[in-house]
Amino acid sequence: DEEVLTAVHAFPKNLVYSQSFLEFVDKVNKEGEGVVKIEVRGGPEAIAMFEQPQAVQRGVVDMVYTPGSFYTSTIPEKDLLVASSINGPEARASGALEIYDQIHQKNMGVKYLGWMDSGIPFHIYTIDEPKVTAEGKPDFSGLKMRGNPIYNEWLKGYLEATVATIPSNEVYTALERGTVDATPWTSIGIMDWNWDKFLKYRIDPAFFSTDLGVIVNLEKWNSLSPQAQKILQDVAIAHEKSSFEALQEQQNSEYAEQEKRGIKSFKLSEEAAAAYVNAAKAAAMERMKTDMEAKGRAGDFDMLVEKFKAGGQS
Amino acid sequence: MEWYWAFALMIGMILALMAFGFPVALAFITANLIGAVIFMGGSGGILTFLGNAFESMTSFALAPVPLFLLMGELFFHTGLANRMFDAVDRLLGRVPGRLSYVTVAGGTAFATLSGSSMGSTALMGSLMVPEMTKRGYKKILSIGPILGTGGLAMIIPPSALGVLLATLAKIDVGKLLIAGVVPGLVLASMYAAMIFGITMVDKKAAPAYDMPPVALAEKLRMFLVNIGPMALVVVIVIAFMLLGWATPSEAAAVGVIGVLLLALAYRALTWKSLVKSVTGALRVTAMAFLIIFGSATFSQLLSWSGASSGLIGWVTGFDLAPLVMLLAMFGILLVLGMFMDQLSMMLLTIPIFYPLATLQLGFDPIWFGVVVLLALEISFTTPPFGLLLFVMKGVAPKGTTMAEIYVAAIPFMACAMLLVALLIIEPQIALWLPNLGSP
Amino acid sequence: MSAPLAPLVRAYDWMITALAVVAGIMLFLTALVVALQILLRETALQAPDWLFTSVEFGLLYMTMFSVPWLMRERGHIYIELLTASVPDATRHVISRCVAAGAAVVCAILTWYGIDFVAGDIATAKYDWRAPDIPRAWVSISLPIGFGLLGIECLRYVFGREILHSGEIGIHE
Ligand code: NA
Ligand code: NA
Repeated sequence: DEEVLTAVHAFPKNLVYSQSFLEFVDKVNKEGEGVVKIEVRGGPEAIAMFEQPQAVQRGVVDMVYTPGSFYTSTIPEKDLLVASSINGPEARASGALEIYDQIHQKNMGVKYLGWMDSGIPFHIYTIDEPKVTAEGKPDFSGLKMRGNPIYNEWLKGYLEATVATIPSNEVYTALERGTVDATPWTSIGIMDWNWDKFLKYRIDPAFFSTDLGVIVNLEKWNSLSPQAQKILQDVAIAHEKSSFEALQEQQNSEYAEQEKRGIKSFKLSEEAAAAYVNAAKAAAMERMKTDMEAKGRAGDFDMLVEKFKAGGQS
Repeated sequence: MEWYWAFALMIGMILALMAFGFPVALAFITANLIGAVIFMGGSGGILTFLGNAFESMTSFALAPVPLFLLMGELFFHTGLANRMFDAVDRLLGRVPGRLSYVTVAGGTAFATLSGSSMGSTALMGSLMVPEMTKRGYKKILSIGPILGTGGLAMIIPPSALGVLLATLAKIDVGKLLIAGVVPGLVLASMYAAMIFGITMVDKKAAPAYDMPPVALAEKLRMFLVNIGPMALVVVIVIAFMLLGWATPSEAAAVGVIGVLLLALAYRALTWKSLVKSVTGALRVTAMAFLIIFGSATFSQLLSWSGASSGLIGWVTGFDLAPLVMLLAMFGILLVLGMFMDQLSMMLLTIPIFYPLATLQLGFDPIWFGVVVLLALEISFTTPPFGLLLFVMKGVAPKGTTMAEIYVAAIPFMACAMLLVALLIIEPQIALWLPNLGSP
Repeated sequence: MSAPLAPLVRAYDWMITALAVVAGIMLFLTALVVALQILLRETALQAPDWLFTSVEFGLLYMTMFSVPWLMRERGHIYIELLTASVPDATRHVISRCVAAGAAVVCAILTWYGIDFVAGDIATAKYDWRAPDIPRAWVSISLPIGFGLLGIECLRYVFGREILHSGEIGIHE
């Protein structure tokens, strides 16, 4: 008998990441014909975006595709993926994802099936040419930056920017009128929002990376036949690799398209770049440590940082 | 469960509960409770429903509603509105239905500057309807134009929903927003023409009192003292937005502060007027937000159960002529719009409608975007459950019946329908402006 | 109401009004906080993250704290179709049944609302948007609001007055 898992995805269907998840679903449904099937029930229009991780915990839905950031208060360790210097396939090969899965099983009651769409970092994009201080650090004094809980501490702390909260579908108008002068976003996707009309500089290097993954209700997972489990896990591992490669390719073509549309790369000096990226990682790791301490799990902190290469490097 | 059974069950519950006289919000919430147990499963389903509601309610996009309501109530209870309308009445002399034209102009201005249909309906409703009723206007001339112009908020830029649509459909945001300008203004003109028509046919629709002629110096004084400062508040709000000092959702707060300062300057701000204003704004906010609590989560259950995607798949599955297909999609939006919120509708329909409309049927993507926004606007005021109708019920004077509101909405909805027809006949109404300057 | 209960009822009524007053103050503060946020941003000063989120969370509080009061004031919109087309005695029965049904729904939501809050407390859950604010502080408004709304519905089950007037149309 074919086993069926219901699924939802965090973002709207047309978004590139959701499309990648739907590809994963298609592969499972093809490989698993007669054995296991994923039935997608929709995106945030079916279950609210931030509610999805709890819905999978409760077993209302069997599988969710979401950034770890949306359940950070349960698994603060998600910052490992955010600050990591390695990508999904590398973390799979090194066994880091196995540990990450155990953390999910133990503390959230879900199976971490795979780190999808990895290797996509963030950049700060600005309207005007960025200024730098004497040491070559971006000087954001007087500049208004659109923030996000993932990187606010770093923006406010290290970069000393004025951070404003603006919902993503109001950013277009906010940039048009100068309500904000800059926003971080992933290396891909700013042209989907048409923000390239206003944002003319991209600060290099990139920082952080996305933490999108597939989680499955643990009870449901354990109820599956070994054959179904194997198909799901194998396809997920294959998709970790193929989605990484596909997005790297897309990233390259988007960088080229950004250049064509007049977005200039603003490169920090080598020294300043290292300090910039390390400060971002340090902010994330500090936050993670505090949250792990509160949960009595800080003992694993150093091991995890090492495993995911999430510490700063010179 | 087949999608049509799920659809029939969910919609049937709502209709039955409402027919029995359940408060609208509680009818939605009860249907959600039962739907969550059936489709999501037991207590986990109910907790997920509560989580969905938590997220829908704690959204900044809702903030303009209480703020615009407060702004309108403050204008009204401090007597500033009365001063302004007296002056307009005397300046415009004998033009029948003059306050209705003021409503269209003011409503269009607010729609232009805000992105919130509900917010601008709340503002215009609490500001204009009590005054106009006091002055002897029939409901069709006070409520109708407000419901009409409220919906303009999402067609005329800035429009957060327009941006979302463009992003979901992967079309040019700037072009879509600009494409809304001409149809929006055409629609506003049609509203004005409709008012003219109504005042011609029904001489009693607007008060026909004689105004004594006013000397030019007195006119100027009235303008400077009674209209200028109020207009200044509106200008300041617009300026804040155009200069980028405030986002469209934040601008309402600037308006509230502006009216408060103005009322202080005119020594019109009393403790009593302040309490009355806040109470009035709170009443409508509580009523409307509890309905949103129910309807936003109802939308999600419709999606989760497969009912709405089943309906869409079924209708779009027929092999029909492009025009018939367009009307079918338009119809789906109107039907879903009765029970669903705009945001969920877009997330659900755009990924299906857009490829169909642009790749298969060959419609222009920008043009189709304007048509979709118009459909969403109309569905906001479609009887019996259009959300703007309930907001209007909340702000209208005591004794206003829902039937009066429905009747008042119809002519202005007809204008929007006519605009859709015009857009089908002459797509350039929407496309001329955005294509200006590009080959 | 019998005399010994009267002070209790008065205290309860006073509380419903007090919660509505709190909601009203929140509504007014929303305007000030949003204005402050604009001011801080435009002067390049840093507004704390929770300032923005407090507006969002305030919207839920505002709603849950004012809906019981609005029920007492008969401010929620409902349709009179059936209740308008039956004899008075039948209307009374239907109206009280509807109020009872609404009270039951509110009771269920209160029960699960408490469960929801308990879950937030047990997992020390915070909302992704506001890491500084435990979510239980906000979600607690759900069982409070629905609990009191349910009690207000009981007013129309057992009280002298009923919810429905018997006139056709949509009422508030
Ligand atoms: Na607008
Ligand atoms: Na609607």
